[in-house]
This record gives sequence, structure tokens and C-alpha cells, in this order.
Amino acid sequence: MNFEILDSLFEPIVIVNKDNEIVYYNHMFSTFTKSSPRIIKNKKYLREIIATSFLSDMVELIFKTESATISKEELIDSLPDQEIHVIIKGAFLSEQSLVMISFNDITIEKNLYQKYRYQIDELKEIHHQIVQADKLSTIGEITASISHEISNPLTIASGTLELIKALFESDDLNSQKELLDSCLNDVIESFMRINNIIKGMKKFLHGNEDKKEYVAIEEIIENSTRLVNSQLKKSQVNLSVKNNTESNESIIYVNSLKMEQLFINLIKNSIDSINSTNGESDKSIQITLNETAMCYEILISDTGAGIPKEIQDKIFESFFTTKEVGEGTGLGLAIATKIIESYQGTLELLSPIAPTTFKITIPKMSTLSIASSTLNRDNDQEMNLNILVIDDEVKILNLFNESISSNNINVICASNPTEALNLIDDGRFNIIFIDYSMPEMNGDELAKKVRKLNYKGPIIYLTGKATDSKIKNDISSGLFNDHLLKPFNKEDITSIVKKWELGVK
Amino acid sequence: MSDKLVINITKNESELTEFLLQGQIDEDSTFEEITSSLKKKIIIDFNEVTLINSCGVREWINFLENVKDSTIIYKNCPQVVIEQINMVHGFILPNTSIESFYAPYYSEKSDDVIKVLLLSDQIIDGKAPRIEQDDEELEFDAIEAQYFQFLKQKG
Amino acid sequence: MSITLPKIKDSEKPAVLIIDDEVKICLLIKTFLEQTKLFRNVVVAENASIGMLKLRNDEFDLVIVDFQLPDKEGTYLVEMAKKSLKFRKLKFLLISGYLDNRSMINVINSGIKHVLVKPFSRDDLISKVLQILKLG
Repeated sequence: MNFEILDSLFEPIVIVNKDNEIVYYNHMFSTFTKSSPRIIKNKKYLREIIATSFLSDMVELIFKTESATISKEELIDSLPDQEIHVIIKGAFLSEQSLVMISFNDITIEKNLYQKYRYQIDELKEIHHQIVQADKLSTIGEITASISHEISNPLTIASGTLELIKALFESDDLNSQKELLDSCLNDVIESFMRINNIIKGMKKFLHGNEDKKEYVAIEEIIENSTRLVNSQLKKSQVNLSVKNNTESNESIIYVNSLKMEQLFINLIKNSIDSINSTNGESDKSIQITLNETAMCYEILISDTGAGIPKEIQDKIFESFFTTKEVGEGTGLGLAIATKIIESYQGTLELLSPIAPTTFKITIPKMSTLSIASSTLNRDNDQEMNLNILVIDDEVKILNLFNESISSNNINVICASNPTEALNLIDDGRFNIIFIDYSMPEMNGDELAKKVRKLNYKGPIIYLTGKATDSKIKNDISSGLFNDHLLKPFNKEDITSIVKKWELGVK
Repeated sequence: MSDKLVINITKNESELTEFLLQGQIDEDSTFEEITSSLKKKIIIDFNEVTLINSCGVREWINFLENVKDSTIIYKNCPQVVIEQINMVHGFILPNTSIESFYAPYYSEKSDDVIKVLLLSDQIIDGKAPRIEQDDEELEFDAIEAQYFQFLKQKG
Repeated sequence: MSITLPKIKDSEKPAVLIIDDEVKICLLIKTFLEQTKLFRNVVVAENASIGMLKLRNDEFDLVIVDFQLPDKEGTYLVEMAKKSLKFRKLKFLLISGYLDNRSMINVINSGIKHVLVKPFSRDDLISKVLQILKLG
């Protein structure tokens, strides 16, 4: 068969026989693999040119099934100086018992996608900041009427207090009792008015709080490094991650996309710094995860050019950049700081050179979820229910958070027993959920410790199996009060909370 | 990011300007320096272009729209540029031509591929010219029919 | 009270009109003024129109008016009064929670010389009133 017609196609095509020998290849294949005819002539087998296993596996499969197939996105990194993303299509030529393979190079699309996704995220952030700034100027504009609104109740309150003072100085207090009463009510009502005005303003300013969820730092780091992977390869920078924490799931309560953006900003800065050194020596970035009693610490170090003393204070400022126009908005570190501060964390420059190191701290999940619920608490509500959930699975924590968090129910989470016991110590919880099978301590042990801390409210086990007799015993002994069988859903959670909420009242 | 395209003027005469391109031609590249020159004859030296991808080619073709009235001469085109030119139409137009380019030749003696600078005029009938170095005849290390395709394009 | 109150003959005691849309503020000011026993009449109104009515029906020496009234700005009342001979000697005290640059210009242009910013204390109010009416 005349395969020469394939030379007029722009797709790289190669034809192999059952033994993986190259029977024909078109011009584009030579360009694509950067192998001239001289090179290909010397090789017999396709795998000598493209060494990836998925390719030979696919060829084998086609010969076996004698039908065409298309691969998913695969990576070819065995070719000299390149990393190519492709989708491969293979067809079976039954007459000659050959397989024809064509390659669709999607490397550029993939790189562009990553690049523009980052830029769009940055644009979104800028837009958000502009909206914020705009909101603030609107606040300025409505200050006039707000001031008027607040000044009236303030005048009434202060004036009425002066009246009250005068009443106290009068001789016959008893006859003034009714007036005193109405004065006091006026004062109280005035302050409530002021409170409502301010609440309204706060709501306006912080309108769209980002959705937070329970997520492991390890997962965030993994996602972030994957997104910058092509840039790392291109600059030949080696990135390594060291986890010094006890578990593999360091859980925090944040918006994971924003945290990824934070890491991507820092890693990209490191890559740029390394690229600017033009050095042959060690090109590497190291990410280290540590933990203290209260927080997680993430260190990002690079062997780049470092940060000169003169600009060390400025780098966190908005719109400060040392890069060329179009290469960075200068908002990276400013945005990163804003993000981390909104989670009560910190971002600082630990060491300006050799290696340049940034340190991120972020409070552990339990601390954050308490802070978050305190801020969101509606003080006007009579009944504030505080529920503690102790479980090391991110999915379950999020499930609880989504099903029952509301204005008058606060869900606080802890992922390990020690953290949980620290929280219980200050005596604020109405209902406690315990995961029966956690690595450090099983449910009974933990429940015993909880009871020791004088917690008298209901304890509910989250467990996969229910042994009737054991349950009866434990319930009667008062160790725990109820159980929820896994897998459970939102309705199961809401109904069990309702059941025990009445008991708490 | 670090290999951004840089364009410098290497020759500036009354009727002609020559530009040297360094770095990679990609989606971020702009060519204002060239479009603002407005000379009748523009020479573009590709000698230090490291890479050009399909996005870069698109940018290039758009840029050519802005210099329709000038004569454009490409010189010292590296292999990566020739490969792209062969794949995409629009690089060669009535007002553009390739003066010189690099072609890969293999030396058996040193077991190495050498990029040899050729003039377009040296290619006759789509055949690679005979090149000798150190008493050795070098072997053209690409596919002739494919590599010299661009010479057939007239724009 | 930390202010020394002057002694005034009954026949010379002034009358005051208070106009504010916040009823409790009107009553508060009225109570403060009446406690001094220096005024023969203290009347309240909750907007400019009612205020104008009361002005026409009775004699007043001082009008305490809020800058932001529901129907008109307080300065409107002042400008209206200035045009009429009857109110030639009428004094005005403007009270306000907030005055930005633009409204300040209106206040100045209307000829109002006395402004009290909310919240004010009882003493602030009394001394200002005494000052305006040139008492004590």
C-alpha cells in the first residue's frame, strides 16, 4: 500500500507491525519526534524512538482487539528536550495486519489553559478588590445619611441619661418611677437601633464571604504544584515537598481555591527568582510542612536570586513589582497576604537569600472554626447551640458543616482527640459527636476522657457498625447517649440533632 | 517568562532597517518596534530565536498585516522557524522572502549535527546543496521534500 | 446643671419652637428647656410644614430646627422666614447629625449662624440657647 500520501498530512503518523517495528513514518513524524531519517533508520522499534509504555500497551491492545482506539491525554517526556501532551489515535489496518498511529499534540492548549486560568484568577481578584474599593467609596457617600441615622438615637440615649441623672438628684424618686422606667427603655431602644445600623453596614461590606470547607493542606499543596508543573519543567526547577506533621491529613478550614492561589503565587515567584540567576547550580524549591500546638507552618524556600534589603519591606505592597510590564501585576504577595490574613494566618519573609524562604502560618482547623462561628453568631437569637464534631475525615466534617450550620447552630470541628479535649475544657458545647474509630484513640476512651472533663451533655458516636449489646451497656452507663450509623446523610444529621436539641433545652 | 522576545535594531538607514530577534516567539510576543519603523525595506534576523510555537506564528501573521507596504526579508532562520513556516501558510506573502536559513547536516566524523547556513538561492530543484567540512561530505539530516517546502510557497 | 441660670422676669421669658422628625428628640429638648424655667412656651413640630403653621399661629423668639426634615431641608424654613417681615427678629439654631461640604455651603448661604452637632449634651444646648437669645 502506498503510504506516501500520509506525508501531506500535518499529523505525525507512524505505522508499526506486530513486533513493534516501524514499517512507515510520515514527514511530520520526523519533525514531531525531532528525529531525522538518519536516526530513525538506525532504530528498528517504535519504542526506541518514543519510549513510553502507554504507547506500546495501546499498540498491543489494538493488535489483540483488531479495532481502533483513542487514548486519553498522555504525557511523552522521553523525547529530547521536550515534554509533550498528546492524544493518540490508533487504527487497525486489517489487510496488512498493521497498526497506524497518529498523534494529536495538545501541549500548547494545555499550557495556555494553565496560564490563562492563573491570569483569570488574578483578574477576578483585582476585580474583587476594585469592587471592594468601590464599596468603600459608596460607604463614604452614604456616610452622611448613616451619620444622621446614628446621631439621632445617640442623642436620645445621651440626653435621656442626663434626664435620668437629674431624676436621681430629685428628692422624691418614688413618684418618678414610671418616668424613670420609660427613660431607661428609651436608652435601650436607642442603642439597639445603633447596633442594627452598624450590623447592616457590616453585612454590606462583607457581602460575599467566600465559601469555606474542611480540606487537608497536603491536598492543596499537591493541587498547586500540579498547576505549575509545566513551568517547573520548562525552567528545569526541582520541587520537593517535606511533611513533618504526624498525620497525612493536616486539616484546615479555608476556601481551597484561594489557598491554591496563594501557593501558586509564591511558587511562581520562586521560579522567576531562580530563572533570573542564570546559574548552573542547584535549581530547586522546597516546601516544608510543620506543625505547632496551635498552627500549621508551611515554608517555601528557593535557591533563587534572593530579595535585596532595599525592597524587603515593599514586596508585600500592592502593585509593587520588579518584573516587566505584562509579566506580573505586582499584586501576588499583596493578594497572598490578604488571603492568609482572612484566615487569621500570617505570611512573612523568613530569610531573604540562600535560600529565600517565605513562611506561612495558619491556625489549626479547630481554632479557625470557633473564630468563624463566633463572628457569624447572631446575638439576637435566644438559643445558640454549640456542637462539636470529632472526626478525622474531611468529608464528614464538611457534611456536618453544610447540614446544620446556621445562625443559631455553631459547628466546631476537631480532627484529633487531643485538639478536641483542649476545646471541651472551656465548657461550651451542647452536643458532641465522636468518630468511633480514629487512629489515636477509640471512641470509648475518648468518651471517658470527655466525661472526666465534666461534660454532661449528649455524646453521639459515629460508627460503621452497631453491636447491640455493647450499645445498650454503654448507654445505660451514661458513657454515650446515641449513635449515628455510617454512611449517613444530611437528613440523618439534622434529625438526630433535633432529637437531642430538645433535651438540651 | 525568562525567554521573552527581545527586538533590537542592528541597522538603521534611510530606506532600510534591520532587526535582530532574540528569544522565543509565542502568544506574549509583540512586534511594535518593527511596525513603528515604517521603512520601505525591513530585514529581520532570526538568528537568536530559540523557539516559535503555533501561537507565535499566529502573532507573526497578524503582525505582517501591519507591514503590508514594506518589503520584508527574513534571514538566518533557525530550523525551528523553518519547520513552522512549512506548516503554516501566511508566513510567506508577496512582499516577503527568505534570504537565508539554517539546515541540519550530519558529520559522521564528529558524530554530531551541524546547523549550516544556506542561502535560498543555493537550493535547486528542492535538493540540499553539497556541503563539505574538514574533507568530509556532510549528510543532509532532514527530509528534503519537507524541509524545502517553503521555497515552493509564493504567497 | 453646671450652668448658672440667669433670672428673667416672667414677661420677658422667650418662646421656643422645636422642629425635628424624631419625636423623642423634640420631647428631650423640650424637657431640658422647661426644666430651666426660663421659657414661657416650648412647642414641638415634626416637619417643616407643621412648623410653618405653628410659627404663623404664635409668637416665637427662637426656632430650633433639624437640618434634615422629611419634607424640606431645615434651611428652607430659615429662608422663608427671612423673606417675611413678621419673622425679622426670629433666631434660628440648626441641629444636625452630619454636615458635609455641600450642605455646609447651603447652611452658610441661608444665613444661619448657629449650629449644634448631634449628639449634644444638655449643657451644650442650654448654653447655646442662652447665647443666641442673649440671656445671662
